[in-house]
Order: sequence, then C-alpha cells, then structure tokens
Amino acid sequence: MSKIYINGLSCISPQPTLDTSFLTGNVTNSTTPYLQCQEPVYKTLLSPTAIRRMGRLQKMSLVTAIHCLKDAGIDMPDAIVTGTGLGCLEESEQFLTSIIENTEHALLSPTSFIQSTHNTVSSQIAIHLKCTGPNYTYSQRHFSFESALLDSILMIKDQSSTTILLHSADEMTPNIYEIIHRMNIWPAPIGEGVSSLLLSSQQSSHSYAAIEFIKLHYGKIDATSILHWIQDCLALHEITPDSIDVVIQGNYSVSLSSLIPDATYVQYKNYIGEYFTASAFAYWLGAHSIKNQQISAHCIKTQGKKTSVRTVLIYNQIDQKYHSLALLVQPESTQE
Amino acid sequence: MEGEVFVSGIGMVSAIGMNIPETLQSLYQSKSGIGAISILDTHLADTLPVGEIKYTDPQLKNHLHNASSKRTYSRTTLLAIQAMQEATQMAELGSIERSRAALISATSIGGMDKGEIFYADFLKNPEKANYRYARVHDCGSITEELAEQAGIQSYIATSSTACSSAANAIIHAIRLIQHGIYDMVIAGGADALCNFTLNGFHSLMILSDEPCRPFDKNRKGLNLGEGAAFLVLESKRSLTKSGRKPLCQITGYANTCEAYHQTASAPDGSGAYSAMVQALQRSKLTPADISYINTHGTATPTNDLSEGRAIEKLFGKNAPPFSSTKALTGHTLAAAGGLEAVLSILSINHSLIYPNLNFSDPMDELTIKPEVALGSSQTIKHVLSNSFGFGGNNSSLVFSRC
Repeated sequence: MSKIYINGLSCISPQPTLDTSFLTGNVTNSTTPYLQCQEPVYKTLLSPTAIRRMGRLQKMSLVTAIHCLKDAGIDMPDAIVTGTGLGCLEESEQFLTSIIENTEHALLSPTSFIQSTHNTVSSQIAIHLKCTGPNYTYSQRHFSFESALLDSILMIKDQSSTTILLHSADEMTPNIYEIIHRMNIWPAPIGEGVSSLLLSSQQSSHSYAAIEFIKLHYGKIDATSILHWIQDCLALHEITPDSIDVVIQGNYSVSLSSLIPDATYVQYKNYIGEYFTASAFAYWLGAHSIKNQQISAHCIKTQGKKTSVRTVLIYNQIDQKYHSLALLVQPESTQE
Repeated sequence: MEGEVFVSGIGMVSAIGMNIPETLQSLYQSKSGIGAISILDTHLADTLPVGEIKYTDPQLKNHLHNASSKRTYSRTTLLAIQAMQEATQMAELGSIERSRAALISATSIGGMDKGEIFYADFLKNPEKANYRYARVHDCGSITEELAEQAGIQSYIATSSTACSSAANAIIHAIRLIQHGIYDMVIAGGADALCNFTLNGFHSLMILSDEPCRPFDKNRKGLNLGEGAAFLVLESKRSLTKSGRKPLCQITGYANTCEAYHQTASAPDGSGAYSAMVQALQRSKLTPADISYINTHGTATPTNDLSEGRAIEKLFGKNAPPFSSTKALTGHTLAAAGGLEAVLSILSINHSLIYPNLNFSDPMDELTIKPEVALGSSQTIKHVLSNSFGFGGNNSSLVFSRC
C-alpha cells in the first residue's frame, strides 16, 4: 500500500501552536469559561478586505491554510477537503438573530447568510488560492475531520489528486458554549481550533510523517470489543502492538495499555478543549513528534519504555460510538 | 480505481410525492409541487411560492415505520428517514446487510427547522428553551438518526457543500466502493424548508414571487423546496452475491470549484463546464453519448446563464435534450443532487425526459432550448445530472443504463 505523506502543518488553537512553541513547553493556562483560540495579528497576514469581510473562523482558516502551504513549500494543492462539526457559528447566529429581531419584516442583509453555509471555509480558501480542484466539506459530529481525512486519502490513492489541503475548523461562541454547557454533552473544558495538513503522495524534505492507515467505526461497542477491533485493525496492516512507540488518545475512558503496554501515552484535550474536530490536533501533535523525534513532556500521560518516536497510533472515541484509529509512521529515508 | 458502482434501490420524497410511485405519477402528469406556503410558519407565506411537502411534522412522524413517538426529530430527519426507508426496502436489504453498509447523507441546514425555534426561545430565556430541539440541530444529528433507523454499524458521514451536498455524498460513496472499503453504501441527502433558508435566499433577492421559469429569458429567480432522496449503491461483488438486479450504473462523477465568488456563478460557465467535462472523461463517454441532461437549472439569472453557456460550449448547438426539474420540486438545496439522481435513474428506467415547466422565451445569450413537454419514446442510455452550489462547488454525475 502506498503511503500518504504529511508535508505541511499549521494549527491555531487555544495554545501557541501557530508558532509551534506549545511543543517546547509554552503552555497557556486559561481562566475563560471555554478555551479560546490564540488568534494571530491578522494585519500582517491577510488583506484589509479579507479582514473586514471574513468572520473569525474564516480568518483563522485562511491563515492556517496559507501557513501550511508555505510550510510544505507548495503554492497550490490539487484539492481542498474540510471537516467542520458546526461550521461558521458566528455568522449563523448573526443571521438567526437578525431574523428573530426582524419584527418589521424588513429585507435583511444577506452577508451573514452567505457566510453561514458549512462550506464557506473550504470555498473561501479555494477563492483565495484560486484553487479550482475538487472541494469537499464534511460535517459529521466527531467524524467531521476523519471523513475529510479518509476521503483525501482515497483521492490520493486513486491518483485523482497528488496534493490535498486537509483542513479542520470549529469555533465556539459565548451563546453556543452556554447551550452546550447546559446540555452537558461534552466533558470540560470546551474549546475550538483550526488546523491544516498538506497531504501528498510524494515524500519531500518537508515530510513530517506518513499516514499508514486510518480506520473508522461508527456504532456503540463495549471496551472489550474496542480492543478486539483495534487488534484486528493492527493485524490487518501487519502492525505488531510492540512496534508502536506512542499512543495519542482523545480521552482515556478506554485503556489500551493491556494491548500496547510499552508505548508512551499522550493526551491533548486538556490543552485545547473538546469540539467536534478536536481530534485533528492529535495528527498535528503526532506528526510534529515524529519529525522532532520528541514528545512534548507536558503532553505525556504515561511514560513508556520506548525512546524513539517512529510510530504514533491515534485512537479517538466519543461515547464509545465514533471510533477512529490511525497510524502515523516516520518517513522511510529519515529512519536510522 | 475503476470498480463499477451500481444503484439497487432509490427513495424520494418531495413536493411532487411522498415516494417513488407518487413521484412518477406527478411526472407523468407534469404536475408541479410549487404553490403557496401552508405548513411553515413564516411572514413570507403569502409572497413566496415554494415546493412544500403538505404534511405537518406529526403527520410525517405517523407516516414512518419505526419512528418513536417520544423522540424529537427535525423535519429534515423525518423526510430523510422516509426516503432512506424506501430505498432500502426497494433493494430489500436485510438487517445484516444494513448494519454493514456505510451511510453518507447530505444536508445544508441540518435540523435548523428546530434549531431556529430553539434559538429564539434561548435568546428570550435560556432556562425555558427546549434543549431537545438543540440536540437535533446540527448536520450530523440527521445522519446519526438515520443510522439508528437502519441499524448501521460501520461508517457514517455527512456532506455539506450547500446545493451540491447530495451529489458529493454520492461521490464519497462511489469512492468508498471503488476502493473496496465498503461493498454497499446508502447515500443521499435531505433539507427541510425553514425560516433560516427562506429568509436567507429572500435577502439575496434570488427568490421568485411566481413559479420559477428555468432557462427562460424572463426568469425571476428560484423557488425553494424541501425533500430527501437516497440511493443504495453496491459493488459488482455485492450484486453478484445478492443476485439483485441493478437499476443503473453510475459511470462518471466530478467535483470542481470555481474559486470565483461565494454565491455567484462564474458568468462564462467555466466551473459548470469543467465539472461536466471531467464527469464525462471519467465515464469514458463523449458528449454525443448523453441522452438527457438533468440540469441544476435553478432559474436564477446567473445560474441558468452560466450553466446554459457551459452546456453549449461542451455539446455545441446540437445539445441533447435538457431540462430543469426545479419547476416541479422547487430547489431542495442539499437534497437536490439526491432528488435529481433519483429522477435521472427514473429517466433511464422509464424512458422519460422531463418537461422544463414554465418556459416560454429563449434566453438571448443561448441558442439551445430546454425540453418543454414530457418525452417518453426514445431509449435513455446515459443521463448527466448537474448540482452546483454556493462557494462555486460544482458537481456532475453520469448515470448509465445497465
């Protein structure tokens, strides 16, 4: 099976991730009700028109997209695929509020409506880059990013694209936080974030890691069945559990230590919060860890016996329902 | 990847019928579903005609097999369940087959019909709002509910690319089958009418105050509609195993982005053109092979101009018969690509070319004209279906007779 390479990365999150200083221990402790993204100073990064017209999520998305392409050393991807659980919330709320307050039945301004569709982020990136290739947006709760990733991999494998900008984007607003908090559906803290990964069929000098496989399962299964499922996925790809150096889990309600006892276990949601595309952060973190051959100490939950960072297993599950398993590996030529 | 993808079941609900038999009846009678709003509570009811399904939410719920009376469903979900159940029943899928199938749905506004009620109450008093409505608001909630209904235990996804959403759900499904990840995928889309989209399109000033007139010189804009449509897609291996007779094969698909404007189509039709060209290339067909084009044809000034120009550029002056079925169903947004996939398949199976209702005067910019009467004599071999959306997301699908 041909590998898929991660050749560019960028992330804006509640931590200083755009400059990657989070990786070396620069951690922000927040006191706000939900964790908010550390937005860059847009003046130096985007045009005045873009800054004026775009909402937060679009601005953060465009910055990470541009940053990621620059990181990968390419100008134009063949396709753009985005995962977003809730889309442009700011604009959706604005337009909803304008309808609710419009008791005089005046003609409303369409701006926030135009920007409220879930594919706004993906198409704004395309418009900025003038990228006329395939453009997809997936919005399936905790699979939003994973569906985008899976489809990107399929497009690279069938050779319809060689480079894909894979994007994730979810924002939080005070009102939506209040609603989610009251519904009590996610563990604290609640957060937000955007990320861009440049996926390619070709390894480059920029390559962070290769994606060996991604497996998804939807449907409630118990802890024992989860372990069997993971075991089967690994066996199918001829990966022995003892070859896994690092495991990154979205949460630790299911323990994999009986299956993979020697690995170092990593956590991240305590730093960025829970949101529908939070798992994208694990790919950012995992890929950096492989390239740097170092796991950020503050992200280690349990230190394992392994010293190298050649294989990183990412397992995410929510409510024992949305299961995703992916293996990141060190690109061949950089292995010792 | 060249694996063949077949369709073995279809289901559809829209203003022209609650199921395939009712839809066919309306098609044979060229009966439009466009009319005055009587179900949706809106101040725009008297001014804007739409393609509304004339059942209230409780009536829709009663109609459904397996719907729990206690559970809160968005209207979008109720429509989606209806169409999905019809498709899986037509394909006669048993519970084991359904559990292994993947499910790819599409929606643009999700359960906004309930979300907008919730949000208005929430703004008034967060303590008193109905949070069960908030739970069914997001796009993914619909697909989860469909998975629950069908007993899916494999993979679910939701495509949300505005008006091309369902076409893109079908494309994702095709890729999953061609790569051998799933042998069977249920794919489609749904959108219900709600105040959010009605007010939104009204604010854009692209809604017509009379029944829409696609490709007509004097077209005034679109009529919104609501509906859902689902397809059961299968690999060759799966068909051989089950012995099912396929309704058609999907031979081509393409997704391109205009990267031109968030809402307007490129006036030269470049985006529509490249989607159609690439879909034909993938199907290894030439323009002359296409028997009928089911256009996006929203009846907005910009869409019909750019799509018409693109058809003329690709097919020349001897374009195959083409029409927009939006004057029958209204524009059902994310569901449109699903509805029109089903209509394309019915076109092949029943040798039907649909009338482009309300057309009288050709556009000055075009030499080609849409079909105005129901055609039912010639053999329809290959149908091209277009779905174009906000953000310049253009997708085309090619359906072929088996």
